[in-house]
Amino acid sequence: MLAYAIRRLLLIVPTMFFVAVITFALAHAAPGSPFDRNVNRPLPQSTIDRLNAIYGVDQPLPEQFARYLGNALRFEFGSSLVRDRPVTDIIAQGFPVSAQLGVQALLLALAIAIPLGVLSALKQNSALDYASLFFATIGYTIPSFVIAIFLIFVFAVDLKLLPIIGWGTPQHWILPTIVLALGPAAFLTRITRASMLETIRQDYVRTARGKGLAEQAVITGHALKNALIPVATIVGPATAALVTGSFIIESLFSVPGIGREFVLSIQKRDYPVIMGTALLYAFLIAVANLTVDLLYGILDPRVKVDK
Amino acid sequence: MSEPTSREPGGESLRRMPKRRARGTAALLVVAALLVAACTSTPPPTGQQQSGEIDTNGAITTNAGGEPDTIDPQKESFVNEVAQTMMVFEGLMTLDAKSLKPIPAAAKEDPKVSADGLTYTFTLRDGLKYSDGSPLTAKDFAYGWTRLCDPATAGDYAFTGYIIAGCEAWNTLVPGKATPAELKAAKDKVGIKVNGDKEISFTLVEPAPYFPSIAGIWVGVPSRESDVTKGGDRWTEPSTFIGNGPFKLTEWKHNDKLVFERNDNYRTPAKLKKWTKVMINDGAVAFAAYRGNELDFYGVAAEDLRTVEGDPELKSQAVDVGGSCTNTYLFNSKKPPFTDQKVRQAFAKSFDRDDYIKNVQKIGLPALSFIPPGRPGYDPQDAFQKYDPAAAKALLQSSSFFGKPELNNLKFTYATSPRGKTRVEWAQQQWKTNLGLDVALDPVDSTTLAQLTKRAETNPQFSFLGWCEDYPDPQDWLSTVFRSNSTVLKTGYANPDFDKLTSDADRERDPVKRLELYQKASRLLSQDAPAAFLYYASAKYLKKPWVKGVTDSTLDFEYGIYRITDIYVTKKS
Amino acid sequence: MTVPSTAWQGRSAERGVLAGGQRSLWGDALERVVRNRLAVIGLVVIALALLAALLAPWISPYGPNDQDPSLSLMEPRFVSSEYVNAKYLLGSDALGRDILTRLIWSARISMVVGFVPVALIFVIGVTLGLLSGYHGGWLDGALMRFTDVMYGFPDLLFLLIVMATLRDSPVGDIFGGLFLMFIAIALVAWVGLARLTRGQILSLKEKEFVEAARTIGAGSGRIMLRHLLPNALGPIIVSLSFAIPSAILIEATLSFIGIGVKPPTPSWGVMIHDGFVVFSTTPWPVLLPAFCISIVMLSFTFVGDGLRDALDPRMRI
Repeated sequence: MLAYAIRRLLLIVPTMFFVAVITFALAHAAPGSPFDRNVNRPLPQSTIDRLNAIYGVDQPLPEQFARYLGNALRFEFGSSLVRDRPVTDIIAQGFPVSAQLGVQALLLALAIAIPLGVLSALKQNSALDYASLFFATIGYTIPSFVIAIFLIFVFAVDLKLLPIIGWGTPQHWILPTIVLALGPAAFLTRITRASMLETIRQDYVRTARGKGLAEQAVITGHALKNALIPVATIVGPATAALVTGSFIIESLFSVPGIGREFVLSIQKRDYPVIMGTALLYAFLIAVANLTVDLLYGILDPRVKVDK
Repeated sequence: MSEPTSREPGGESLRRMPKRRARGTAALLVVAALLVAACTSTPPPTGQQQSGEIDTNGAITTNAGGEPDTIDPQKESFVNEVAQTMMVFEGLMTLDAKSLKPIPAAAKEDPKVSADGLTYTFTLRDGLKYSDGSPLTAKDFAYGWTRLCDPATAGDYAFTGYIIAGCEAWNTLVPGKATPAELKAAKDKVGIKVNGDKEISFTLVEPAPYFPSIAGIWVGVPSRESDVTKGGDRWTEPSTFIGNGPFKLTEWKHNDKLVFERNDNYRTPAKLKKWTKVMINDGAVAFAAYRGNELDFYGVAAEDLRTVEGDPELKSQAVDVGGSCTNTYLFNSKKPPFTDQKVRQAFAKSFDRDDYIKNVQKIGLPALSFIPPGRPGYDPQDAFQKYDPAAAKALLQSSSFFGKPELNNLKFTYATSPRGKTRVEWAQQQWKTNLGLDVALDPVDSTTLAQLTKRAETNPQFSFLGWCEDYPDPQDWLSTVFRSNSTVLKTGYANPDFDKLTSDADRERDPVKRLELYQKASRLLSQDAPAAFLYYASAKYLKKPWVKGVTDSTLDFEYGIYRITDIYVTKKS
Repeated sequence: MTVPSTAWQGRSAERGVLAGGQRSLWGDALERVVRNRLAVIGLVVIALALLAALLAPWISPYGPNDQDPSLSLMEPRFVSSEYVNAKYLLGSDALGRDILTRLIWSARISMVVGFVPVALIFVIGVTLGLLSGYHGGWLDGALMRFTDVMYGFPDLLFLLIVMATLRDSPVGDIFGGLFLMFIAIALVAWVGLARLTRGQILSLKEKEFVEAARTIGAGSGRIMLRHLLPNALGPIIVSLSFAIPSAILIEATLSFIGIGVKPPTPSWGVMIHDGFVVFSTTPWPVLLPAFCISIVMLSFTFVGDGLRDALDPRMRI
């Protein structure tokens, strides 16, 4: 297991390299210059040429890429072309916010989904099952931004209960976290329930009961672990998606996170910020996936991870 | 609850499900209905009594719109950037909120102009200080202006300094390619001279009566050399962003908010103690925040009008303000069919501006000429481009492209934006109905659009141009935008008569003659129609009743900013 | 009096044994689906949506782009308000276009966006997941590394990059931006399905029936297709039943941000985008398309549930 883990950790490097290549290629494939910030005042080509020369954006792409990689290895990610700030600054300020929002949302989603999914599977066709399916349906079929719009108007305008902009106090955290958690919570509830339903029909569960084990022990000792395997598959990528923050949620609630920043930087062709954020993200996903695969090994002993 | 021991495959669960799900759907609808009812109800009235007394610790919160990319005065160009800089800095001149004329700010009085009109000398007031108490001298102003021209700064608005001798030559060198000696030589030739602590003079390329207006905008404010050197890339952070204006920047939480506090060392201290600017991208969210009392000002959008008009409280908080932008449909005069003046004129007369304002834009005024009302050069008598569908059709028919394929390959390129799309689709409909032409829509993101305008081949055939004023002088409108050698825009328009009129007007020192020349140029422009003028922007603001002393101005890049020291908040009783 | 279902099961199994043939998994499944009333409702709704999409030009009261700015933001007829007009059953948008018409025409886009990418996702994802999970070894390693890379972007941000960068290129013009969206969605979403399939296969391939099949000499292909895949299909189908509405939602999200389909094509996402701007004046331009999206997604979910219940092999005897 350890050897496998180490091997996977090392494999993160080529993964990130490939991510860097793809991001770089796509970002530069889009027409437009980072220096044209105002569509009504486009700079003359001569000015653009000068700026490109100053910032080294006019050199052939492979050269730019090589230079970028060289700097990246020294943890120098350059400065934003559009703002006067180093990329590491921008990421260092935005990332903790998005991470916090993402983790909060994930915890909330899991806290809702797992108990709900398990219980409704156990008490299939009961009122609880009906309630949880209903909840799962709402959270999933109504787009999150629509829910956000409603919450904004109800809580901030009509009830004047919660702030809707910014991220300063815990009250600011409530609405964005709820909205971000709803979709994953709904999805996770369904998956948990489906998986749990399947598991408790298995022969070994019947056997355990037949042996006379208490129901509690049957569930937690035998069924739960196996039921959670498919859930674990999804949690990995779900975490990664949440951590960078949903762009829409961050935008609507004016949360100063990295998700909003990333999309703006794409629109502005701010290459250093695009690259820095994409690499950070790739790293996080790779680690999350590794964790999930290791979890597989722990949860399902029949899976041989070090083949 | 009994556990299923022998599984009834499907049967049991199936029988129960439909009823449960139906209830689920009904509940869903009920919840939705409740939410809708909640949303469309009116908010409870605010129960704040005003005593009318000034709160010396008054604070207000407004929306900056989004994180400013930069607030470096010599690099910035967007209004949400300029607005922050002008809280913290002050230039030699400023602009009067109502008359729009340049008036002395840091300077003691109007500049002295030499006999040949080429040299402007400013004398500073006594006792000027930066917000940290250190003295402010002419040298600091010289540094700011020089920095504007410095090619290493690479600011978007460097072109406003080109009227100063030597500025353009220096600014167009490339630091990597030119030698340090060349750079130094060019810098030394720039016509900015300091005489003692209080006097600074500028030598211009040609007589330019509009120079005091340029001195009234943000480009020449005295960034302090020691701050810029110490802070480098980060000098605009609060610890090094030290200015001479009414407020100081005490906090900048990126993407979150900017906090400004009163600068007690300013020559006429502000009444407000604190001004917080949050960063809300979305207009609908900002409106909700205003109604939730998280914002004190809100710029009303057309879509909000019905709500504002329908709510007596909101209606009482509304203020109408004129604007300084003109929005037009721009033709590329170098691309067929717009090479033919008749086609351009036909288009200019083919859409109903009144209908547009009434039903689509809602906030704004129809525009028949380029310069908006309230500023020098406005020509209310110019009605050449008036809506006249019959005349438009006739012009089209008599044009050289009538019946030719070029009229069927029209493509209107514009920058995607939420409200922009609906407006462009209105125009598309007008051209179809009144000219019988199908214009294809081509939305691109704004960065791409800017790229397209660089080269003649990719410059869109037909697009949208909104021009907002930099300083209230016809030179900034007519010459800067439409003269054929404009460095700011490449409209493709080249009319030697227009060029001559504007060049002469730029230099003309007799104010009456100057305006006459500009008026001739403006009329020529309307008839030649390189652009079809659509509407003048105007604005409507909502302001909370406890904020007073706000003077609105058509110059406002931020509501109330030209008399910002007058604003105060009343004490809550 | 209802015949107990176990008896039915027993009899059909009998019939199968007696007849000497095997009742196919799929025929069985179909029968189960038909018996599930919710799934049938879902199918009906989807069929209606497809019909609406097909017949749009004939059943809409007006054209989707017919404007009448003087009658903008009318409320639906069932609301009591002074802003109601007989012309517009469900009200009008900011430019005075009939919302009902636009809802119908938007169904076209949503239906296409729902089905096409998901078909691609299914083919690519399941194939790769099967091969990877079963064979393991270098193939698995390579595929997993590759999927790790594809995972290197969050769905939405990768889609954003692709749509934002390539939308203005010639690729972005095919089918008014839809082609690019299909490719982008499929590229992003197949990864989840591949991993899920792989996970299922990993769990299943150690089971007894696989051993049994190998013992009687079944080849890899046969094992994968006839034994592993059908048993793995449960979660795969659940996943797909989420993939279709997810694709629809993605299109709505991208259009909400403004980088979805190109104008003047209407879609529910585009309508919500336009409606958000006027939300403080009237919520209906947001509510109505959101309702359509929800109903359609709900229907796909019911159908997916029905399929899952039907295809779970443990239901068979």
